[in-house]
Amino acid sequence: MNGWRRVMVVIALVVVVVGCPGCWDKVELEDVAWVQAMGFDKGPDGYTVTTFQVGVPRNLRGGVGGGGAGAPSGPYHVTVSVLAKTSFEAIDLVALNLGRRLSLEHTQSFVFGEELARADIRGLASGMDRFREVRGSAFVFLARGRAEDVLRAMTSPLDVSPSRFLQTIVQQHRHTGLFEATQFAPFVWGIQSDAHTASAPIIALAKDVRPGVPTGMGREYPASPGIGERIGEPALPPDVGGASAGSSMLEAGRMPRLGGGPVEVMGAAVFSGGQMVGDFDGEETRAMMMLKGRFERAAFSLPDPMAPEYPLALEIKGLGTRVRARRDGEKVWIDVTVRVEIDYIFTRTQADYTDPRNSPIVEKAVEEYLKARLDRAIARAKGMKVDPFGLGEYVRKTFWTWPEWEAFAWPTKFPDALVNASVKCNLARYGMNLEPLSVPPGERLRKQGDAE
Amino acid sequence: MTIGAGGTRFPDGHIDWIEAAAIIVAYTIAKAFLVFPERMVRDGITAGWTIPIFSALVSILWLYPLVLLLESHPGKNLVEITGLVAGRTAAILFGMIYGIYILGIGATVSREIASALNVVVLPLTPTTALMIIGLIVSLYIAYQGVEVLGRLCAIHAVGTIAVMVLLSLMSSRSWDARQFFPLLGPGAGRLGAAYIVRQSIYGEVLGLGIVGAYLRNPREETGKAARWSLGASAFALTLTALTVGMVFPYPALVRVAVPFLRISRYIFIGRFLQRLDALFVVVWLGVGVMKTAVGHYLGAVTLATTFNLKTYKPLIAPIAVVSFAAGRLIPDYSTAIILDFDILRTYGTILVAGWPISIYILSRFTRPEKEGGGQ
Repeated sequence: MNGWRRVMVVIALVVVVVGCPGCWDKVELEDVAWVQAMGFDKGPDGYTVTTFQVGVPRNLRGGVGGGGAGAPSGPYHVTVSVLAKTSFEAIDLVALNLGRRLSLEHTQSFVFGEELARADIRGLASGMDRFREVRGSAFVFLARGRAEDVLRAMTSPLDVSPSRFLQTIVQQHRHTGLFEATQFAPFVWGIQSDAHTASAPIIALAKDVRPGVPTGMGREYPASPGIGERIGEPALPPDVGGASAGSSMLEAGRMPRLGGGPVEVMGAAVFSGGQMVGDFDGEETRAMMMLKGRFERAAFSLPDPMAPEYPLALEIKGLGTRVRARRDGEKVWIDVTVRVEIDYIFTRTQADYTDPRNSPIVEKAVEEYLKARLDRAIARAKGMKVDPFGLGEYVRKTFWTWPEWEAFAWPTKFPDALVNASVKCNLARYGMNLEPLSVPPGERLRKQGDAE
Repeated sequence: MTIGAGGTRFPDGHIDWIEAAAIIVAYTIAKAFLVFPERMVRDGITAGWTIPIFSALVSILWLYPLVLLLESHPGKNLVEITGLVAGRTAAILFGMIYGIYILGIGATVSREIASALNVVVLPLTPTTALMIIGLIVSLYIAYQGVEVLGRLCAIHAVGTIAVMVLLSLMSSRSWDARQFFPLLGPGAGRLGAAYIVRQSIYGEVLGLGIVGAYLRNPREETGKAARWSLGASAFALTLTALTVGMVFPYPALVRVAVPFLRISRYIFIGRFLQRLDALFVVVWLGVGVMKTAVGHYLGAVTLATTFNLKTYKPLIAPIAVVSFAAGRLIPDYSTAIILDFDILRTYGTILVAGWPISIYILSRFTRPEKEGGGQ
């Protein structure tokens, strides 16, 4: 290596080694407050109330329980709300209070308050989407009531960290179908799409959480209710009735429940553009997921077809959804076929559905039950003039060019589209037993509520 | 100066077809990590992903004559061949325009990469500081000559394409093929026009006209180098456009500044395998440095040949500095994108396609001047 080259190498090394660490952007971990969740509510005079749920690393480090040297000496997270013209400005303002620069790089959820969402969150979502620290994989929730209240309570008795709680609760959409985990990026795409509209899961405080009561881990909200406390009656609100009514026909905040954590997630808020225009209950959300082809598994209770006075519980798995759209000028026909299979039967009667002769009976009952749910969800969406099912994505296939599709204006055509939903069910498995529990001769089966 | 069959103008060593192709691929695919997919969708809407494929096919129309010219003039670059076929004035004209084209691409791309790093990773670091780091490293690489450049690019191109494939596969959970409908996007007419105009995304492949002179066996290796240059570039660019097109719906994509980076942020395979945008810091620095290094090298060799200089190395630093200064003059990221895609590349298509085709046609109808006649 000659002298000139040596000089070049040294210069290059010095510049790269000094330059690459990025002294201008140096950040010490101890100087940053990591925001775990962020909430947005409507404030007075056009202001926005932005709430930050910030983890306290010192206390999260030791884990939960156990005591001793690693035991936490304070709360696992703090929640700060600030009133500002914009949520971006709020980030700076909160830093003045917490004494650390706030970082959204690990923020796992954005919670929009209902009042704000009903006004319009398009601008807010657009601004957040543009910010470099926001991750598109973060989850979005619609808070029934105020987002700030939900964030102050958002934790589970099983997890000390709100972020861990979020990670585990969003997984439940796959196992229950009662809400759909919505990531921020697809949510923003839905706001500006003309083929489908956005939706977000509804999160709410449990109905027995009282204002002013601290709800943090180990605080006043009891994870286990006291002896003698009962779920208030009637179990279901008066507006939820009918032979096939169930607790899954509610939304978050209305679940008949006692104990556990202070927040719950169920149902979906439905948007038109950036404006919330309505909501789906748990069953309608399941129907929405079926229509979208995203339904995976859920436990359903429907009247036993062989003894309608008894409920029949089933584990139903989604096998996929086929959508076919046809168009003739302005008129649109959409055929949706949802394929499901029964994986487990919870029967309270002597009806033996493991007998192949009875299989069609339960399959037909499921098909009719689910079709009714699908039709109801479609009708409600048409009433709200929104297509959260993404049926427009299939209608778009009937066009050759984008200008033609754009001129068609699907959102205005959806309410008049003829959507024919059908369900194909297959009884695949029954559980670990074949026949129902036998009843000795002379005994009769009692219905719940029968006098002893 | 050595001129003759199998010898190159500048005694800079030799490369084989893999290294030649790697130089061109490294030079071409850097744009995949910037705004390129958004531009494809802006032109082709839901059919934007087809533009890299069909534009590559259209590019064969000028790449094939280039290969024939290089094969029939072993050891000579396109500027020299132009001199032999069309005379010195034409060589100076084409050489100058191509030199400016290379400078322009270098300036806009270095500005785009520095701005992207600024926006995403290093918001407080001055753009100039980022550009200077890239400038010095690329300057050093360009000084090492074509052999070192070729080997570095071979490693770099393989690594970069591997990262593309990895990111693409890891984002597969977000793929939705329905985003490709309506199939004809803006309509057959506009789409066809985009295929022709956007062959400019392969404008860098014209660099083969310069590095092709260093091939060990030009007659056997030029075609192979061209096929692999265009093929691998088309694969990488199509993969990027395809992936981005399947993840983002059309209206959303046209407002995304760095789409492939955004995709890396949507990757969520599990709690411990998500948000792979950290990869981009390495990738951006890598593609930025290699692209500008190749640009400095090609620019220096082109201008040295154009002006009949005995060596090209003294031109590397001035070219790098001019490119840096031009990049600094660009006021913002949006202007850099417009200059790059809508002006430089769009009108550059005339040069990229017209130069090899016109010289090839001329070479068929005129008797070549004696060796060195065009110098």
